[in-house]
Amino acid sequence: MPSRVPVQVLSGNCPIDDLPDLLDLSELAEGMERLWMKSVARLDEGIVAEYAATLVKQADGSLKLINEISGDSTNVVPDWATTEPGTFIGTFQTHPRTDEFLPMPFSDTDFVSAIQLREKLSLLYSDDVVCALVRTAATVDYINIYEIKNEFLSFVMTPDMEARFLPNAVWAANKWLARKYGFGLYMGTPNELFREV
Amino acid sequence: MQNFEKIQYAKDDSWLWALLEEAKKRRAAKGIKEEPPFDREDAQRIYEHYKAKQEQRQMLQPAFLALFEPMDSNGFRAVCPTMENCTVEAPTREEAKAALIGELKQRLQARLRAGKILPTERSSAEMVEVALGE
Repeated sequence: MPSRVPVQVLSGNCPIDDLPDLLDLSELAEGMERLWMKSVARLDEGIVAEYAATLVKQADGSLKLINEISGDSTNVVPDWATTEPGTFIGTFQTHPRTDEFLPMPFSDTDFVSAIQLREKLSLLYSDDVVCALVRTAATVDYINIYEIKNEFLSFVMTPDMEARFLPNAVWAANKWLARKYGFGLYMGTPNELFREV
Repeated sequence: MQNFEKIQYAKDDSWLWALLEEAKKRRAAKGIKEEPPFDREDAQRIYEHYKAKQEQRQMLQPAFLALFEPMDSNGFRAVCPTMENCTVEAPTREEAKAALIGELKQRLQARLRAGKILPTERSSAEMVEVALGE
């Protein structure tokens, strides 16, 4: 069955104003939830691991997560290199925590790798929240890691840092950076994501 | 090559998690124990605040940028690389700054008189002062 995500969205060059308000990712929900459960499977022992997978488009047009891979508590490297040519859509990753449940959106390097890898769709699962970066016709081709770190720091390392809940500031930074670098940004449940930028 | 690519494209969130730990440490130091829930409205407020700050910063872009560097002879060199490409040297940083402002004012006034630039709401002298004010 063809994907419920519009072909134009998966093309990576959809005009940013034409992005849909809602992304139906129900075809991937089970796979994403399974990898999230793997990420927190040893939470009782105080151990979590980031998981990643490569998102590919199959011959019938449907989306699938392949090349599941685990990392450590703060880092994972998707095994994108083994993807068949022409089928690569993007990546999926988890952001688990050992000490508490909180949704942590995309990090500095998540933005960088999404751009460097030319990901058309970059998915992230953290504490039952799924976020998505959608590459568009307006997305930049290159990004400076130091520039993006500075932007993050501007949101996070403020004089009133302790008065802020960091995931809120990181989500604000995600919105700012998505706008700046020409991404569509979505947040929602594993089944339905709503457009934020 | 493969390893290099993997490092470059790693989803390495360690820096972000370290920031989270720092924030938590500061909260704990201030006796804040309760973690509020994730709140998109609060995130939107943070976003709007930052956006307003950035817009304000863009409006206050200086007309000139100046670089002050110490010289081997113990003096200071002040360089304005933008627009006028002006360099002066003086024994102290303050004198270098004053000399640079003076030189830029003269050059701007000369260009204004020659009709090479148009007057704005700010006088050339004000533009220089705004740019180099600290």
